[in-house]
Amino acid sequence: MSKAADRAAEFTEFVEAGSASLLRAALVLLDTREEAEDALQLALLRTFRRWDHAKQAPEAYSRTVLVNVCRERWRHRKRHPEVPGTLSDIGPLAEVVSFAEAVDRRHVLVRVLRRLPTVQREVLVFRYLLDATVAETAVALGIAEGTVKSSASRGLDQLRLLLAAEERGVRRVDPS
Amino acid sequence: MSIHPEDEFSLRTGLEIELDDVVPGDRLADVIITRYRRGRRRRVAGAIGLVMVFAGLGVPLGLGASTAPDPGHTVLRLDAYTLTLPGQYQLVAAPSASCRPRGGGTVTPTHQQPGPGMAAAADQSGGCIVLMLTPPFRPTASGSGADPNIPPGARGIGVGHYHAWLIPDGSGGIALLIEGATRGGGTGQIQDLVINSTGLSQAALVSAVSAGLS
Repeated sequence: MSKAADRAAEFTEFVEAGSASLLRAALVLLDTREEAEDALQLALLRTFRRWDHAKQAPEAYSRTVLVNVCRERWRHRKRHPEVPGTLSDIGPLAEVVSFAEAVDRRHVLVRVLRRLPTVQREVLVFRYLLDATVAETAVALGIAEGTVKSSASRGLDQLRLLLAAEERGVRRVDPS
Repeated sequence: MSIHPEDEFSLRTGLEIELDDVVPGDRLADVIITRYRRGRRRRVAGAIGLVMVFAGLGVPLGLGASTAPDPGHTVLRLDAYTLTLPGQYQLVAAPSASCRPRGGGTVTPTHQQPGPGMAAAADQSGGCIVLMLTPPFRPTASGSGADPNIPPGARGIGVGHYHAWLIPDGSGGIALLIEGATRGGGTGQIQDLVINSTGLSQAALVSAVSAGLS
């Protein structure tokens, strides 16, 4: 088998095993399923470009690339904020959402995680969704291990409060 | 600050349950590899395009450089010879007052005076170089076999691609004689090139001719 074919086979094996958790992480870190899938593709593409180096620890490499892609998107969004439209501008289209978005709305935990400050959200995603250790999380996010621990703790506290508020809101809407 | 194990467990379990249906599309790896190969082809094509653009620019620039006179140099041309000298030299009419060897005598072929086919350059400090062509010596049956252009004190040296005779004239002038390499003077005859100099050291003349004669 040629070297290129070997590369492709190794990469395919890695994608089949690891892409689902990366997509879920991207979904929490970004806002929509479409954005998450785009970010995942870009992260995997960058990983494949450097596969000879990345294959030594492909999970750690791709996780780091993914969080960098997500940060690029946040920065882009800050520089190019969407102009808010009024309901009259949007009209009946306001009711039109993609199927994927409709599915996203069911993800209560994901929605609540998205409301956390960025560092806390990244830390919780790395620690509890991607199963990265404290040290791996610190390296990938470029922060100290102490910051990882404190952000995880504060993030969980915050999450608990937000989930409780969410629960109360649901009860108010649906007394049953 | 503490992290409750039950919170960690709840979060892990909750995320697993919520995101269980979030899976990437089929054949994602193939999509990525195809994107990579397409991008690489574009990059290679771009690189080739750049090379062609630079080559397209470089060829005319290179041709221009080889044909255009260099403003930092003075070029003496005589028949097929070109002597490129440093910029401090200025072309002068040869022979002129500013380019006349000390003591009044240039090293010239003894059997023929230089004709109009000459070129000369001089610098501010009195250094002067004169190029001229002369027919080569041909021994006759009745005459001496020695070339009168090459006195006994002359020695053979290499100057650039040429073999030359270095001839001190005894009055401060030095000459180089390069034998029979050109058919010049409009006659089609083989001719020798004589490079006379005054005000230059032997080393300076040899260095200038070695570096600049083509």
